[in-house]
Amino acid sequence: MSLFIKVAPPLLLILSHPFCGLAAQPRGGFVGNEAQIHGKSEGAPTTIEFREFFEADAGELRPSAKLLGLNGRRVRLVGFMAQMEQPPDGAFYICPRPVYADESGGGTADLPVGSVRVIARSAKGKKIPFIAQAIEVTGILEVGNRAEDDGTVSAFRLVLDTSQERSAPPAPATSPRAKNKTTFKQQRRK
Amino acid sequence: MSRRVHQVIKALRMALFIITFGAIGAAGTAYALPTEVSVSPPNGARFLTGQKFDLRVEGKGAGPFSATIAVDGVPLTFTSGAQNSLTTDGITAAGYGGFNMRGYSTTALGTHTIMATFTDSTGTVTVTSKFQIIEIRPATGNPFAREFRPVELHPIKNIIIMLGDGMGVAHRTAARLVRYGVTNGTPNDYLAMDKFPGTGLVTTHSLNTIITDSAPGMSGYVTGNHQNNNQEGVFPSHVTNAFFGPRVEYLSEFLHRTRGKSLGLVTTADIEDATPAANAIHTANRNAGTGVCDQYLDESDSADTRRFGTGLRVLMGGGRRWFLPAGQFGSSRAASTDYTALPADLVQAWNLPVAGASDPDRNLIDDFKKAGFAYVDSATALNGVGSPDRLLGLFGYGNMNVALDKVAKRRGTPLPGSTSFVVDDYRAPDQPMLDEMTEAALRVLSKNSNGFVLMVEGAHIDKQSHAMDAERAIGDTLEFDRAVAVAKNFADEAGDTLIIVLADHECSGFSLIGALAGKVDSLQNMPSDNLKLDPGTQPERQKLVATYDAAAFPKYKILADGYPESFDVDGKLLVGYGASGDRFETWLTKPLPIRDSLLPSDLSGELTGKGLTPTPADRASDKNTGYFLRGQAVGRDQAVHTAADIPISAYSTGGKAFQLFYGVQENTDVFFKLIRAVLGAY
Repeated sequence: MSLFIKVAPPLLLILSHPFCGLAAQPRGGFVGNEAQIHGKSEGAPTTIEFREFFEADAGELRPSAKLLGLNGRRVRLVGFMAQMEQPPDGAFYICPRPVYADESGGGTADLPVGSVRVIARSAKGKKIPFIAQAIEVTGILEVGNRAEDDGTVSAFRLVLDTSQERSAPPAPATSPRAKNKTTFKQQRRK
Repeated sequence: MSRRVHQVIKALRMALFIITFGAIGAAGTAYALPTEVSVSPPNGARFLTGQKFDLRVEGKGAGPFSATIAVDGVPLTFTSGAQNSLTTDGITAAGYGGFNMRGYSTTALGTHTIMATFTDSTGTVTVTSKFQIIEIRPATGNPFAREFRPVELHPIKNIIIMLGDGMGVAHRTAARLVRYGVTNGTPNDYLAMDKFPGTGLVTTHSLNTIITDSAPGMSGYVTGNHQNNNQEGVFPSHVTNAFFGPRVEYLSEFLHRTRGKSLGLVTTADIEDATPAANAIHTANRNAGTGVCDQYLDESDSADTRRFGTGLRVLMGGGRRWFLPAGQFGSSRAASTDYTALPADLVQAWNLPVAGASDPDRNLIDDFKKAGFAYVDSATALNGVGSPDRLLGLFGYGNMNVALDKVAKRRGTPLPGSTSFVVDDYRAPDQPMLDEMTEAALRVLSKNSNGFVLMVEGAHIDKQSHAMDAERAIGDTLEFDRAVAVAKNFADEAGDTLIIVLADHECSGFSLIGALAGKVDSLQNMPSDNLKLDPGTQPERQKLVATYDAAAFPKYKILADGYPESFDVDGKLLVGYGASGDRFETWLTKPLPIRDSLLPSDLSGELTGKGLTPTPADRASDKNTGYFLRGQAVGRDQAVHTAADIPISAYSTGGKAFQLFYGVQENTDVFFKLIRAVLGAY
């Protein structure tokens, strides 16, 4: 129960679902701990909201002091996974609203400017299936433009905690979440 | 014959078989020839007299490579490509050889034959391709007329191309039904584009498929030639940079060079998107945004030399991300989407002043300003800009937002179920409507006494149809039609102006299937249909589709801003999609995310604080309550383009050029008809 509450159940479903190819990985086989990689202690994440990313005044984008202060630190963010016609490998974008992104503009023209590229290192080279509801992600935040291998440029990245990448145990069949998971599977198989 | 004789004959036959096919096999090894040998332009290309295009011969094989080319038997000299070398032109992909003759043109009318040879270490392949130079001259009148009357020429000075991306017949009908309604079978009024007198149909196929994307969909109209999907202003080739391919001259370039006209591009998309770019940019990669936006300026001929370029004077839309230096927040500029220095022979043959460079750190807004462009970034700034000589407007970082969401912000009334505005999330709270952008563009462009070409794109008709979001697609068709009305008013005042309204393709198989039976309120309180997957069980929401007589006449309340007060009205128009992806259908407007009921309490509270409710209102709610519809074209993906013809509507002042567009026509015909209008040759 606590596992499902502390991490986002939908995301666990994504990453553990057979269609994303990760369930075949051995449990605990996702190498590395982000906190260790970054040399920082993995304490409680700091919550940040999309509306806190930039200074409030309109015009040129100026990252907020809070955002800059969380660069390289563990954060918690709630948003919606962008549904993309050409999704990146091993990653997805999380946005403040549901977003459909068609192929134009490298597939990122429809993303709000504060969208965060969420990187699941263990899913490298794999597509992460889309899920259509609010999700919560935790991991190390990276702030600053970076050219990705797919030709796009990301301004913000969140490297997922390994605990979020790891396959989740199946929920009890009688729980409400079991119903949710069943629905998800049904969609995936369509 | 004896059995022994039969055995001998059989043995001889076997020996003959081995000798014959063994020899062929050996010959196949010894005499392998280069493959993928091709010549540009591809067979069937058509050009104007004097319209420029590049000739190219390429092939794959074992180097060193050589090639020859001749037109109608007359040998030509390549402008690049070293004979008997491995590197050839220095821009060709590994394993291939390439030879170019840049900037070719001819005034000789009729059909011409290109014959080319391509040689590698194993042998030579000969290929041919035919192209045509189209004769554009005034109609001679009726030779049997009793009295000779000299033909009066009515050259069109200004061309306005209104491009509703993805807009098929049903999109137009839907917008009309929502905007005006129908009484006793008679439409209460018609859209501005409906009232145009020149009506026809246009094919939409590209060079390599029946189903085009927006790049060749647009470029076919303004080059007279088909191109491959994803490619604009170039013919297919294997080169190391998407911007190095063999070019074909655009309408804008031809008319700027020969007539001194200007170009304006206005869109609700990211300005690097395929439709605007396919009027000015030569690239085989429609997504190479850094290079696309650089080329807008680099080949705009801001000094008005008329020796090259498009004469670009207006560029408005979203896509600020391509104009900010790479290090700046919100920038998408990167070397991987830029072009390096263009080939020297291309630069020379097309009279380009600079070869360009890979420069992701470029501040393109500053460079536009230095070239004389006024820059605006909001509706307020646009309203106050007046009539500068040149205008750059970037109203969002990526695509601009759709009409429904822009109007919600202007009304100050969030869509039902929300307390915030989508445009705020996109850091673009003050975006102009397409009709306002069109008006500003016309103010600027009309300052050129030589006339102009203006392309105005309603981009989200397509994008929202991809997303199977009927309300937003219809809302953007209404926005687009308001821009059409602005263009018509201009044509009436200025004269000598031709407007064509068309699409690059149809999107989603958009169809009007009926109307909602009953009240919207009942939909919102209806039990979920999402698990009714048994074909024997009819979902409740499917029962609400009123067809035939039951559909009656949907009615919407239109506010003073020209848009419906709400799309969710009792008896609302219902839309289906023939080229669909999987979806859950609720028949309700999809304005917001919902607060998922399975979230932990702290998270749920956080989302509530953001204004999210459990009210079914967006895709998540579709999934939670709607009934499942398996995609007919694709699975868990967006709806796709279709191969259907699209409608064209034309209007002209100062002449009857609109008549050119009667009937069914090929998409590339549109280019020649536009030229015919400019010359008064109709």
